[in-house]
Amino acid sequence: MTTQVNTPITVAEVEAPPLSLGNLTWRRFRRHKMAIFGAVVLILLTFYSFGGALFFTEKYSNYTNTKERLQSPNAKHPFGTDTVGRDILARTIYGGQISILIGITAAFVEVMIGILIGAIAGYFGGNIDAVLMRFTEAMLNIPQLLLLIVMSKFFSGNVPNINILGRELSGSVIVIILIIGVTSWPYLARIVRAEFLSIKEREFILAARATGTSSWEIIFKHILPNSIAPIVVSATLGVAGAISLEAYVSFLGMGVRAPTATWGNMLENAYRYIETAYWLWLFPGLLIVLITLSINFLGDGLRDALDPRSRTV
Amino acid sequence: MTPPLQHGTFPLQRWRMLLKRFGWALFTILFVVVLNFFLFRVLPGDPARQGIRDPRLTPETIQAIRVRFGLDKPIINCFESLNPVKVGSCGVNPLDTQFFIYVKNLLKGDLGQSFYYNRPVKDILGERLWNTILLIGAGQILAILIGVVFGLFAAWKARTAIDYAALISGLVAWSLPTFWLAIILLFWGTNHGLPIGGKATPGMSSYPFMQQMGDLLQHLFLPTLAYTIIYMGEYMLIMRSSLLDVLAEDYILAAKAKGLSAFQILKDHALKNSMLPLVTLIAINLGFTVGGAVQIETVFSWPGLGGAIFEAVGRKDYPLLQGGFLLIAISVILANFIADLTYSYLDPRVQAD
Repeated sequence: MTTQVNTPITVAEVEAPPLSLGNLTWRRFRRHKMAIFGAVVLILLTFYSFGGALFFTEKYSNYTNTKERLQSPNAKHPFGTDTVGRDILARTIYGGQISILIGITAAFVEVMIGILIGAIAGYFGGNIDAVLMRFTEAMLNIPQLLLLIVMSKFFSGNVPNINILGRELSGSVIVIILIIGVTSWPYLARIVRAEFLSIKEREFILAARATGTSSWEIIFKHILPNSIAPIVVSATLGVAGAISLEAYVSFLGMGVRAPTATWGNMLENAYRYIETAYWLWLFPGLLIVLITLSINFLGDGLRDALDPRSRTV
Repeated sequence: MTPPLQHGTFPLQRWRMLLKRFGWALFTILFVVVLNFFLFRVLPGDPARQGIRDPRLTPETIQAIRVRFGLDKPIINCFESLNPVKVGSCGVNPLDTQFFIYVKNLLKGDLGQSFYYNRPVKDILGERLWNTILLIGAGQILAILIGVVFGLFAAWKARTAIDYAALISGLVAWSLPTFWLAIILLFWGTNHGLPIGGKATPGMSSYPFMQQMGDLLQHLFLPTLAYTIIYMGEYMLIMRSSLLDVLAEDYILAAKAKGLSAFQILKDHALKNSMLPLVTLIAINLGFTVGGAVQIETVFSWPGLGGAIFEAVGRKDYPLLQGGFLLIAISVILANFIADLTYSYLDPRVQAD
């Protein structure tokens, strides 16, 4: 047992200005060792996939050389080569860029749809709410993974390549982003709706309404900023979810198509070489695990840090 | 003032709430039925030609196949197909459209004929469902047992090294991509002589019963292990946090003040109340994993429901897909309903809305 000693309150303590919300958040976040760890790993992984591009060209990452196929890790190819002789290290670098891009943009699509549906349902209530929430629940009752498999099978097949910033990418990247976004919003919509339901009853909203503020302005200027904390948390977790969903669908061979690499589609052929060529599935797989773990840790820390109820510093 | 609600009782208002929930569940099923019908008809590709890719097919044979699967009929009034440009006749008998035949057959319990297997979808799904139930049943039981024990232990030893180790491993297990974990286990299994795919060694059916069972258990081992690891983390985290919440309640302090031992407090006062979130989670998970085991089933080629859907996607077997989706959606809805039911039964604080 520790004994509590009543130390006299110093002047500095009394006069310290109250901490701002942002300050409090940062202090709580900093305490969360796992969240800090997650943030650091995430930054390292981002450096890995974007900084690594300085050492290898994308052309090299897609360069097939069947004479050097299925080489185990060696000095020339630190992560070995795949079934058609491409360098796995270079492919994890460029694949990482696409995986991260898909994670972030798919989560963005998810958040946009989720906010729109949740906000409209929560704010307007009544029949609009009933219809939208029935739809949301019906979506929740069909497992996302199955919907994802069906949709990606039928829509990501024959998509022409696209050109983004001088890079030739498989068009299936865009399709996968949209499909993941379109199938993952229901949870977020429910969270946003719940937030809106509780905030719209508060006095400051009543005041805004009394002064003749339009509904859209109340939704986007007054309620949304106040419900941002849970949205940020689920958007963060959504990035991890999207990365691992993309990985699974691409692993099945229905996601992002060749030649564009992602951490997921690098695993596609690895399945047949489980025993004989461990490097095919070990490196891309570890990167997926690392990034989903670090994002989940980060999200967990954000949840605690952004929770306005926990006032502990 | 309404009298305080008792544990395990069902006053009238709660019956009314459940009735309302049940109504909504039925409505959601209807919604899924409609969504399901149209989803598999907007998808590209002529289903009549999927099963048979023979270039020698004459137009007459194709037409015969279409008639056989009822694809010659208009989809619904005014729409010959789901091509909005080709408007069909609105004057057809609504009972003679694909949609109403589908609904009518559903009411009779007929899920249609699989394009690929040429067998009733109901029979195929029935076989597959049992395999999935076997897998998730074994996996869930193990995951719950291990998760609860570790969660209790972690909460009891809160803020010690044991607790942190449990917390971190729980989070790691929870965020591992399921299919990758399955690949790792497959790698490990092949090096230890375990069977790595399917449900039985070919030719096993001629062996005596006990040997067949042993073979089944061997095949079941790796998929179950993968399933257990993935779900164990979630149960552990929930159990830990809910027990911590309960232990912070005033009545626990009162029990301590009465001089009860730590074990007595845990057994008589804390455990029951901390089980509430767990029970709900189990019910919800049971529904979701019927389809959610798809990652495990595809890696281990376990002949379950998720695996069937994955194969049907590749073969564009729409009736099988449609039936599978419906079955899974109904099991999720049912599980949610059961979760509601148990929750309001166990927790008197849940008020009728």
